[in-house]
Amino acid sequence: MEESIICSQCESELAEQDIFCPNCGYPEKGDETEINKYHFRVKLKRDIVTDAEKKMKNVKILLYIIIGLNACLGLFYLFDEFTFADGIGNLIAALIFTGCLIWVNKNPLMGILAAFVFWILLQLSVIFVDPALIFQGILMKGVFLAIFIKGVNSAYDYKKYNAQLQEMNAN
Amino acid sequence: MKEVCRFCNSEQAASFKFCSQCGRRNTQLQEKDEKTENKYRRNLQYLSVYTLFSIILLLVEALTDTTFEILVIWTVLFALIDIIFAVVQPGIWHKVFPKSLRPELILLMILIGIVTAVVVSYSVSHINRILFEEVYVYMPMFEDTQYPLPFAILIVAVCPALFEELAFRGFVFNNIEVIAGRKSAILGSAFLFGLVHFSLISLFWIIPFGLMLAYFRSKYSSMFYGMLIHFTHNASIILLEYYGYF
Repeated sequence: MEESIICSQCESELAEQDIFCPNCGYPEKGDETEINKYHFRVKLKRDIVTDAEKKMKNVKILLYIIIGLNACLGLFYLFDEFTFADGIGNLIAALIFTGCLIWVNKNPLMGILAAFVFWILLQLSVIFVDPALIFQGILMKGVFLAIFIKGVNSAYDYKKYNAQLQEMNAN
Repeated sequence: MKEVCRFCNSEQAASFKFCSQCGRRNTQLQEKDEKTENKYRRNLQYLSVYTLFSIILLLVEALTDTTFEILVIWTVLFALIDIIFAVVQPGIWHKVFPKSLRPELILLMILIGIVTAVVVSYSVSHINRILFEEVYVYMPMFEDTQYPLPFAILIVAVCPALFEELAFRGFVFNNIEVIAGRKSAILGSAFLFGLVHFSLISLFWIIPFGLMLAYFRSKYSSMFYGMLIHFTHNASIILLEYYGYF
């Protein structure tokens, strides 16, 4: 009588002659090297996911900072009659970035992309006041840009490697 | 049906994920993943190039004078760009016209266009008057031309209805749909549609307007109804201004 073997990782049934689990790839009857290889592959993927999570979190922190700055500046401007309209603009910007932040939680890639495009537009729109303003705080803008771009790349890696880990049932 | 592992030629169960003898992943799954990834990268690239391109051009446009001739040049330029991007990704052309036209829908879209135009004209002119103590108008640009009203309708109503719809409900919508799905496509295309109009204050109505257009595009999988609303909306705004209502 055939004795059924259950995979120790994903609990799916293995046939008698199976060395690897056909569902998650775990070397149920493999030697030590094969088991080590399996764990190494899982760790590699898990590292990428952790790294992506960190970079996506950076984007969120950046968004909190941008929202805070815009909200404070907006409120400050509202109290002055001459800058009242600018204040409204800042508050709307803060509101839109808040919307993007909510979006990042639901769909990281789209949320980060939306915030990124809106941020670029805001940075470029200073040319209506004075084109030289684009270069103001260029270092900080460069850092923001890098965080956004890394965020966009990470959002995809996160999705891709998470799906692979789920397939290997190693979450 | 049995399958065969391409690495060790051992027989495997149908639609296996990993080979039970050598532990490697099913190559068919691998290829499918790579295909999805390539498609995703390509669509993201198209989308980024288009967005960057249009933002920069719009900034330049905003810095030029608003005379009739310059407006015509910009309109033609943007129309060309939208057409080029639509030609590069031919998947949108069959989405222009719906499979069957429904008269009651056409009537509804025209009505929506007129109602939104009245609401927007009224509220925007009020907000602008309060905040900036001035009102933005379209007609002065066309006053020196031979036929002010037809030209205004052509440039402000017909062209945007055709080309903005082709770009946002066609090109942008399709690309985002591939990358992130239908819901994101509706939200994302409306957001970008709002941003390219270059006015923080106007976002409060342009984004909901874009959401509505994208929703119809998604529901009837055709750009035609969106074009109809867009045209009626813009044309009504011009007519309201021409006959001095707001």
